[in-house]
Amino acid sequence: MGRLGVADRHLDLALIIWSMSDETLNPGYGAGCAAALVERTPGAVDPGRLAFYRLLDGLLSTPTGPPTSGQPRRPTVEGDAGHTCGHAQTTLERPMTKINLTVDGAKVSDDVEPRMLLVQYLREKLGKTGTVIGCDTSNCGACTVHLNGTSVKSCNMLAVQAEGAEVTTIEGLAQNGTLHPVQEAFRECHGLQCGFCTPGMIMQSVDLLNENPNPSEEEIRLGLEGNLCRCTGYQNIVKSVQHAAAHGAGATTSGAQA
Amino acid sequence: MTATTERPADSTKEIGKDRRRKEDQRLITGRTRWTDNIVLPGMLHVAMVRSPFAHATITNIDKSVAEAATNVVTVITGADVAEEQGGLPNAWPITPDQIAPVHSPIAVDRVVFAGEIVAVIVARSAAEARDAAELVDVDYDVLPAALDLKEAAEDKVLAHPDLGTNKSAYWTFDSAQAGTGGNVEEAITKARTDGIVIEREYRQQRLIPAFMEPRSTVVDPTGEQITMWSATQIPHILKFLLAAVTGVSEAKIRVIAPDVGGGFGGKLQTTPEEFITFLLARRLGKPVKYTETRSESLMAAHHGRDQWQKLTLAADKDGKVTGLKVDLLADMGSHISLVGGGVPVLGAFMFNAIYKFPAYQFNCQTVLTNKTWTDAYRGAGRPEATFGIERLMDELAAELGVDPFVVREKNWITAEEFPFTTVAGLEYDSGNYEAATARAKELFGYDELRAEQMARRASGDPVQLGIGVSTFTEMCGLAPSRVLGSLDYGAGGWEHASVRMLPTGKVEVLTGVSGHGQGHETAFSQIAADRLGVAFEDVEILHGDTMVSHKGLDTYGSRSLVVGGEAIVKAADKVIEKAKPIAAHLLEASVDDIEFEAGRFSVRGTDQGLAIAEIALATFAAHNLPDGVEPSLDSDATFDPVNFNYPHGTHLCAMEVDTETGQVTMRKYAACDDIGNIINPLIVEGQLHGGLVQGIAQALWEEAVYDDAGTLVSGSFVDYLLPTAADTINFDLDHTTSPATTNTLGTKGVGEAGTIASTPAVVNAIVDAVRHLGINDIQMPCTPERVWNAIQGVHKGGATEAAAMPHFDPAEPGQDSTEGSAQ
Ligand code: FES
Ligand code: FES
Repeated sequence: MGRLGVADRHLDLALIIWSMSDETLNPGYGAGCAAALVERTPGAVDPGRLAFYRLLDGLLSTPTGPPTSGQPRRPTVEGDAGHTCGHAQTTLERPMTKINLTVDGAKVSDDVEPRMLLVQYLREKLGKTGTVIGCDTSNCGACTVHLNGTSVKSCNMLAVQAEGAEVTTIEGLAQNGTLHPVQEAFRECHGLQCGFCTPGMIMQSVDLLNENPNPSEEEIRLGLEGNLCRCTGYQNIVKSVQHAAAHGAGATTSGAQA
Repeated sequence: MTATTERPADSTKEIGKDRRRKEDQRLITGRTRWTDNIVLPGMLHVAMVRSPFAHATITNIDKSVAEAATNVVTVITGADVAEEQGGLPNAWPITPDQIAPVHSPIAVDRVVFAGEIVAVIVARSAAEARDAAELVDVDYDVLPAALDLKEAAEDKVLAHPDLGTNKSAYWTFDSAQAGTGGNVEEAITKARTDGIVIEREYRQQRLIPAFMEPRSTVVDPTGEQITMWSATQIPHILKFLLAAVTGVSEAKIRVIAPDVGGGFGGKLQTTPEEFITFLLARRLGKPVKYTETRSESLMAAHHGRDQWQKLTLAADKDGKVTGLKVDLLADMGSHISLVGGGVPVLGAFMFNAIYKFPAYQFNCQTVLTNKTWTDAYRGAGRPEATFGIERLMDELAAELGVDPFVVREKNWITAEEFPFTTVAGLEYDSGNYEAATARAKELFGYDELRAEQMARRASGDPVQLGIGVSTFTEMCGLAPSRVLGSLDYGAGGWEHASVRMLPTGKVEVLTGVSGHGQGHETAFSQIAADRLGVAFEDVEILHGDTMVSHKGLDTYGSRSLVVGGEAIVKAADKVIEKAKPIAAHLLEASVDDIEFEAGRFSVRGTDQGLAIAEIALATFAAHNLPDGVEPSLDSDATFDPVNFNYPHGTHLCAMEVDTETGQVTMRKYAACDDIGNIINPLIVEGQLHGGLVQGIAQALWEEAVYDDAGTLVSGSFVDYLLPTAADTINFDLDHTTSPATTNTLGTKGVGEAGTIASTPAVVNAIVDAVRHLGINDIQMPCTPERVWNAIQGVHKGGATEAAAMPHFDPAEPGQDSTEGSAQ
């Protein structure tokens, strides 16, 4: 097929590492992450996490250039360098950072731990449970939202990185009770079954159509490659995006993004 | 009658319409209730400390640092709760002498797979619980681990030294003994002298169900009933087993499966995590929540498949099969889980597939290892069987040098022969393999693709084309209770429904099946609307809460529609029967003169009548009912199927294989399925698409891989390769219709069909593309590396590797068997 397919997942991983940025991956969490983890807490390490850290180690020791596309950079944070590794620091005081942002059109402000992921912030602090978490390696895309009008995996960035941003979640996509054409298309074309991947699929599809209002089947398939669905086999998801494109979804903007 | 939607007089039947799904409005707007969304006052969070070792003795656990951490409420080890934690249930002991280790939710003194829970943290936030999990210091003495299935079957290393063996149970079926067919050994002996014997060994690799919603459990002990929300397929079975294991009264437990994000058999389980959170909530008197990470899910939620299949097919010189012998080794992993041992046994009835084999024997050894425990994964036993037989039928065709359909036609049950009792003892009620095959070939462009294949072969094109056939059937609609009883399964297979007629004309339908993406709310509304003659919009389907839908056996084995749907039909029919005397009374007519049609009770031969909603309101008011008639139309029904049902279909797959790189590419996939009458074609199509991709993924990408220390190395979505949109293609699908004769609606299950059918179609296609190079098998998943190695192995003329089977000369049909080679 000549498509990137599953082999391309490692790019996602590189993106996570890159988004963690240098302060996040400070000595002890960067290269040698796994070894540090084992040494600190022998025998009690979640093997899945350990495997992931090993992977990080492997990738960090090979020079991996940062992607060229614009990735949100985290703002400078006072105090503790937040890190998504979730490494044990329970005896330390964790200073909170105040963030201000707009989510689904509403201005919100909270004190958050610097290590809190954007998806956790949306779900736990704001109750925006329409956005879900499907993995811990930034592969599934279930958590996809829009940040300043562009899709991002909200598990792949810290809440503090969204400072000042406009975030649109699946809950903010319909306007005044009218479904977004992509939402409508997913229902019309049976583009969902259990619906767990759906918030992310829809947000990614909206982004895809914003960038390319008339995508080919190939372009749709490649554009949704970062979003996993276990139920539909993708055929009706592709059809949904085609349907939305035919009904002018590409001309619209997402939710709160004017 | 306010706000009920009038059913237009000319409206066609709901059944058969491609209704858009009722459940979608919530799901596309993010108005969802996944278990992990639930937040309760004072709720505590749970994190697990899991073993990094496949097999080890726990020598010490130091939890003092974790316990001292801020906001940690408690830390519990297996030893702390050894007395009260109980053991996880096995509902299907397949033999009376099955050996099954005790399955403690938290390991007490020994861990038996990497990922097993050894300690549990309860803290005020999920992040703090996880932080503290890393502060628990566990000392292990590592033990040798039983990892390789074949070696484990020889008891070289014991997964559970105290049991003295890894062999759990040996289950066998023999057609001569059962009186359903002849003696398979005689058939094989005869074929060795004057027929054809095909002997192969196939590997069914270990898979992970990988539902998209990680499992999550919330337990609230603060009411009179202890309420558990769980991302489960089986709330009713879970409630029963929580009571049975913990001794808590069943009447004091409520289980809710809210929105559940996929299952595929992976949530057909009662889990350590459920039992642990139940225990903690009771101990602490506070609500607790546990949500697994994806890594935990891949590592510790049950896996599926994992078999070695030794197959011997005997045929006469013309390709008429005379016998099939199956010897299975099935990896149960560390424990015998809820229905784990029964999964390969379900395959016992399906190896003979759509064929009239005169003799059949099935032997299955279940084996314990130090890997994650296995259980149902979409198809459960039937994909494995279908793969085995459909691969063999292609091998037989190759041996004879004929088209794969020639041997199938020679052996399949013809349309006139239904109902047909198979050599495995099942009665297939209906089907038409000829019709489905004809349509599938047409959709596929079979002859054109064969011609292209020949042309590419002739021109020596480096990219070869292969065509794979899979003519599958399956038994689904689990299951007649009597059959389950005869197989020593611990429960029945009936299903329950209630229909409640509300005074406003709305209808509530309670069902005991528990959907998690199948579209039950839509399909069942269509059924109830037709049966009762009410509007589709006026029907509300209630499910997944044991206090609302109090009785049921949940969702798995393609049973929801064919068993659960039939229960709805029966309950609706009872409503109508209850309404008739009331209608007669109100219309001042004799009951015998009352007719019911399209939602209206009328007096025969007159234009007098009342709508069912009017009867419902009159019954609610109860001002004017006949003497002795209870003021209720509400009705229950429990339906126990008399037989399984047997969807079938012909699937055709074209694969391009680059003989220089090993790259495989799906060119085309077409299928014609016969699933009886269709309630909602849109939902059926979706089920097939999803099922097909799961089956294709087994053929091409997915495998749970362990390293030689017993660590799952495919423990994240980086390594466990679920296909993406970019890896898949569009399918060409159609249907033929042979209604099932054992349910009112004539429906057959569809949830597992795609997965069962597609895997052998893909592998047959790949092998077909390179068979001329002397290859007759490639082990799944057929990665480019394996394909390339197979091609190289042959070209080099060197030793045959596991992935590449020895060559035989198709020009000499009927010659001696080719030895199954995957040593
Ligand atoms: S949860 Fe964000 S990509 Fe999986
Ligand atoms: S609809 Fe279930 S994962 Fe996509």
